[in-house]
Amino acid sequence: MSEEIVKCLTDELKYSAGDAEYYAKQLAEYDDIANEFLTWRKNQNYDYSPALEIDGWTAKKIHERNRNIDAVTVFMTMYWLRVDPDYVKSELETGFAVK
Amino acid sequence: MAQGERTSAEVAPADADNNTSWDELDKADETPIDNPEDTPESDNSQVETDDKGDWSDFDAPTEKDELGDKGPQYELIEPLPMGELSPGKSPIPDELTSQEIGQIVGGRESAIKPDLKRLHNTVKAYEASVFDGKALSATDRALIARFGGEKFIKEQLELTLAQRYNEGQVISAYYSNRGRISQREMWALNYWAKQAGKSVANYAKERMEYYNNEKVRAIDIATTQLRADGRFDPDYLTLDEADLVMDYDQDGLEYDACGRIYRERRAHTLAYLADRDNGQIKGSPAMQRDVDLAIRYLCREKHRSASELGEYYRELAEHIYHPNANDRAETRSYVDNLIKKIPQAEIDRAADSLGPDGKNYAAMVKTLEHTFKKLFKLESVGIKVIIDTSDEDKEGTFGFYSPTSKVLQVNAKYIETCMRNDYKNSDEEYVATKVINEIADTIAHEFLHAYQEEYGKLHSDKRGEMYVINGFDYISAEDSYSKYRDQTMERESFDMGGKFGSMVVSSYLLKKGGRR
Repeated sequence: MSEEIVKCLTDELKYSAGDAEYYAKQLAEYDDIANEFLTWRKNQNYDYSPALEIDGWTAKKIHERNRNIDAVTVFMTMYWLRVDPDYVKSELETGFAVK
Repeated sequence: MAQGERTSAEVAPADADNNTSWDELDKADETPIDNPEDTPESDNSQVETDDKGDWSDFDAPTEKDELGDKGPQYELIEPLPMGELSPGKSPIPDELTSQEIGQIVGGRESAIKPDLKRLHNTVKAYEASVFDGKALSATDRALIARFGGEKFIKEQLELTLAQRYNEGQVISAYYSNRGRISQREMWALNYWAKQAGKSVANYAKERMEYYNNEKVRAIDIATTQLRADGRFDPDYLTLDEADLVMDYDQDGLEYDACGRIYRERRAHTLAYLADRDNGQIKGSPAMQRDVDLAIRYLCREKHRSASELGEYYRELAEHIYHPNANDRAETRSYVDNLIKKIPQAEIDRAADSLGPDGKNYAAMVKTLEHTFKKLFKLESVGIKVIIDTSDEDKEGTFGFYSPTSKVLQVNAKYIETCMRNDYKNSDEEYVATKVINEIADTIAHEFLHAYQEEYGKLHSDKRGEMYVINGFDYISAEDSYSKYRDQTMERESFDMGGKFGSMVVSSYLLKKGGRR
């Protein structure tokens, strides 16, 4: 699954090989998050169901906080909600504010 | 009079036996000369061509690379002041004084005055034949003869080229390219050297020393001025200039701020960049040369080979942009230690400054400005803190720090608007704490950025190198929010802001509770 994500990141989202490998490795750590990412890839939107929910957040809800963020940020936020919610607490509260 | 120069009395006269009239020449057939033996000989067969070639076996400019000493043996008109003529424009003005014309033709000005245009055109044709391989027409050849022969035209061409080029640039190119300059530039250089009565090598050396001294003087003035203005930033210096400044020992002037650390800082960024782009540096030749110097300098300083240096930067970049669990833990621990240094009294003071209604954000920012400048020892950096009271055109930006202008801005009004929108269903008190939290968070965040910037300038340890490289190769949120958020500088600042904001809010709520 990691390879498929790497391919998507490099070919479609134009990530560098190093960046793609780094983020794909984390997204592929959890099958449900990786599957959701691939579902997004297939649909190119967040309107699928059933949708994975972590701490009350779905990919769609996260994207609604800031429609400018890319899919990697959306699913990495889900990853962090599972691994270390504090890491993304501020982003979710401020709508991914830039400082 | 410099050695090697001769007086105008020795100027070769125009060919007195040449009976061809100018009118006849004008009407003459323009057919090019086919016989290669008829093309003018050049004394410059040793001169490098425009093709720079392989420099690997090149040691230093030598006499044999230069023009021989068969150059003109007579005095020419004085060159016009540099800058008066734009490149490509004829150095021979339409109107010359009788004296100047006399210098050209040895006293036969009455014969030649109407024909200066022809002289100019002849020199142009001769230039094309020498440098561009274009054959001379029969008319051109006849004109050359009429003007006194090839020797005279050749000298005119040298003069033309000497006026066309900037001497400083030619000398600099001669040294930086190890003698490999274009033929035209070499002719110009040869002319200047002859005028000074020196060999090209000696003349170039002498003039390079002069320009270096001038450069040092210019840097001296610039750095003194920048320092006086409080905006001294040696980042604007090239490595060469930094070297010059370092080597230049002048009484009464200290170049501490432009010393080793700054030089290393610039070298780091360049070496990192070179490695990131697989050695394919895009940019000016000066930039590429800087990269080369930077790598050589760092290899020497760090006792590493170039490949080891590359490996080192790749590893450093991984820690910056692709943090692992240890890197993240290190960030948390580092920020915790920073926060521990802030006395609780300072945090309480900031909370107090909000006033009874908890809305005097400007006062809180002012208090925190003092706190963070003291904590990070930034009092002398000249950071200007701005509280923006407009919420227009912020596009998700809560604040920023500009290392160039040293402006630290907190978009307080915009933060308040965002919080009110996000928590419109919450009570006023809750919204107020969110606003306080975010403003305090943002100011701590931006002050840490300022500190990172200054730390990178003053320290060459691993952290300093990371800040320098991250600052140089900064990823904006527009590129990818995840990448933006993960890079060292933002990772630390987000951590710092998040923790600090909560602390101010806790203090505020505690005091508010106590007041009730």
